[in-house]
Amino acid sequence: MTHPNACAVLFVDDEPLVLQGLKRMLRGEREAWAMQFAASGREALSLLEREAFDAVVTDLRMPGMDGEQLLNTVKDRHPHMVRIVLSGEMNQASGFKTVRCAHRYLAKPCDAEALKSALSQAFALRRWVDDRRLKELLARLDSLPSLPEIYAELLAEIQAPNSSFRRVGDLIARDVGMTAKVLQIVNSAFFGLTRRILNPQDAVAMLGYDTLKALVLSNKIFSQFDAKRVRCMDVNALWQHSMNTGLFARTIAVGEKLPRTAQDEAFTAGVLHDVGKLILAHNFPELYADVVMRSRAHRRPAAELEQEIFGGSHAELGAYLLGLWGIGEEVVDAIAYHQCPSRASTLTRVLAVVYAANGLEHMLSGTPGDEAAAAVDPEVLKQLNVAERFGAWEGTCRGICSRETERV
Amino acid sequence: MPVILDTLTGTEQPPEPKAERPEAQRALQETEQLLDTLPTILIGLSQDLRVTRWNQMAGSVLGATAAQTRGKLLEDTGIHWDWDRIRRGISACREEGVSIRVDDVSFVRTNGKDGVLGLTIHPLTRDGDVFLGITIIGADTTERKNLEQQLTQAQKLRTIGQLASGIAHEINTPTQYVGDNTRFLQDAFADLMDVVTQQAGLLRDARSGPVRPEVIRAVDESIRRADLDYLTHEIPLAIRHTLEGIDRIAKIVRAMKEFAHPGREDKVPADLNKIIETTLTVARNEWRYVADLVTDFDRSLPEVSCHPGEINQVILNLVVNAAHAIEDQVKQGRMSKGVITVATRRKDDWAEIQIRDTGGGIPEAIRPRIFDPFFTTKEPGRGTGQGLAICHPVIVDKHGGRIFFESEVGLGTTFTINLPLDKQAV
Repeated sequence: MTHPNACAVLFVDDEPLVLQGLKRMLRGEREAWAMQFAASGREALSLLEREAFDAVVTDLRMPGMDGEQLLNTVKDRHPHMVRIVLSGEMNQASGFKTVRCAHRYLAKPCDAEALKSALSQAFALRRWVDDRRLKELLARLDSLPSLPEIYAELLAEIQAPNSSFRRVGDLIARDVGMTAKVLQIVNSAFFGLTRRILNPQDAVAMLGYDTLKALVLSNKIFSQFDAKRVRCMDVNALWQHSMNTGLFARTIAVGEKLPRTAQDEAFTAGVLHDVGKLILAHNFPELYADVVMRSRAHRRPAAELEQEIFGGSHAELGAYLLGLWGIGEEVVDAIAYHQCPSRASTLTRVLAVVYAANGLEHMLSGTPGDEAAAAVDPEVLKQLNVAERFGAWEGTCRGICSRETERV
Repeated sequence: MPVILDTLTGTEQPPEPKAERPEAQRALQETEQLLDTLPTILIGLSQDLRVTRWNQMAGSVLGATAAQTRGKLLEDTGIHWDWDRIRRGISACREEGVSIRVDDVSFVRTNGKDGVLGLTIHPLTRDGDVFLGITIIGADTTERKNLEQQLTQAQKLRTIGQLASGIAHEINTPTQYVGDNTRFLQDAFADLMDVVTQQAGLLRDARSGPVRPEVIRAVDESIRRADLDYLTHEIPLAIRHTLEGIDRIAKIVRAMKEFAHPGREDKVPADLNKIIETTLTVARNEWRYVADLVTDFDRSLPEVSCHPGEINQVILNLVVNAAHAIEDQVKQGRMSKGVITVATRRKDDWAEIQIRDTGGGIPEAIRPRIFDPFFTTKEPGRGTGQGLAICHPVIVDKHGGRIFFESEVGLGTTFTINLPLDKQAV
């Protein structure tokens, strides 16, 4: 009955009526998804030993092995799997425990569409990365490395007796890894927010100081870059490029009078568009050094070499991870296609803005990087329907650069 | 105090002070002034219950001055208080020759509003048996009483706050499967309607002549699409589970309402079994992951005159403690799940509640301290040291009951509460 390459999902809950309800409710998906149901963590683990699954959806509070233990074991033994919490728990402390072992947190009662779309989004990520080794790597990541200086400054600020919440927020917004993580956490259903939070300052404000402090100090949601490990590229330059791209993208979006959500999406996608590079450089320092070197020597786009060596480009890897973390689809799509918008199924304004902002940043900053890939292609601008706007955008971004130079 | 008491009676003659004894007069004046500065109501009555003393505080609280009352029979002073209880107190004091405490005496405050007094009625005797009169001392306890009530309510709200996340979890779980089943029923209805429509076509065909084979095929196909056997089996179950879920939600909401209901001033006859069931329902999330619950209720237990809200609180504290004791054992890997047994029974003139756990028991060394306020062995956030400390006065002082425990290290603890069955005297 089930299609041979259907996605396999395992549901775990100690309440049999919940499992039966899910089974009935998801009956319409039975051809697309192979579903199994386990009444305890132990039962789930033994099923996992016998059969292959792509995702697990588990309750948190269960007698014996609880959801957190189960997810940590799954992360360890079956790292390629997508890990989703479906819990009625309202206790903050137990929610915090899942910030490192779960990709998504859905709150009971969770309506059918939200559960289905969380699963289909996760399965759709296969279009970007299908290599098992890469999937394992990405699904195992529970944080993105932060710039060591920012990380140290944040720890100092947060522990200082007279620490300023505003400064903490500013620090987080200056870091690519921290931005991604706070967006993941604040948008998880655990915080019960009805609107999507799309920029790091709002995320920090929503979390509040005490929560953020607990998350940073006790739950260790951030980690730092090991600069010694990553010699192949100038991490500071990558940060500068990411932050500038975010700034350019937001400024362009504001100038175009895009809605507020699109402005935020453009900014966040701009800041996060190169997280894939971060992941590759941090996890495969030697191999990635080779990519950087060959890309410069032969003037080939890094993405091409990444595809050859790793089986996926940094754009797709970044999109896969952030999609797993439940960052909104517009942002994730803009990241996935920021180098080749024409491959996207829908050409959104956000994608166009991020594409242009990335290209303009490379062009204007003059920092050595992936020039081969970043050059703005007039054909693509036409496809994106922004060819006649590009001149104005360039002017805007030049303006930002000269103001920055004056300030320095 | 004999000097003051002597002066207090006013009946005992240090006869009217005389001019030739100025030092005695001065001493008397000083005492008068001293009595007036006391922040306490002080009323002296003679043998025949005439007012001999009426200090300033008595005047300002009761609204009649010393001049207006001196020499009058107490009954004629015109003050508005609960005369019944005052009279009973005075006669008890006279007959038994001991001090009588009368609390929460309602009276009308000088602002016209209702208030309460806390009074003590002391006998004045010579050599222990000659009755000389009575002294009433006391204070307006209205504010304190209000504060106490607010505190009790605050304590209860705090408990509800602590239970809130557990209660939400208890509601969220059935809401999930009620929603899922209803969603399924919606889809199933559409599938069934498809079958019904095809069958209607079949019926139409049959009425107008021979049935065409493609019409039969269409019916078969619709039945296959709908997976009719599956639906026939699952729809009744889905309906049953939905109703079960609604029942569970309704039950917890009802229990919560009862639990949160503000306590009444007076004791009311109440069904202890029901009180316990309510508490176990709202606290279900606190114990269900670590323990199975066994209830052994004596259904013929008579109603007990009590403050239900406070008994709720006591039961809750004991059950949460039991769950914590078991949880510690589970965490240490000594068991995967424990048992909490809650039993009620009648024992002579007492109603008895027992709460037994299979936790680790209370270590010998700390047993004498467990009812002490702020004494706790729990980590911050899990216990305040207030739980058992609250239980003791509620059971013993407010209900005239008893609370005690037996504990064996490694086996568990049993708390026993006895509440008097006879109607409580005030």
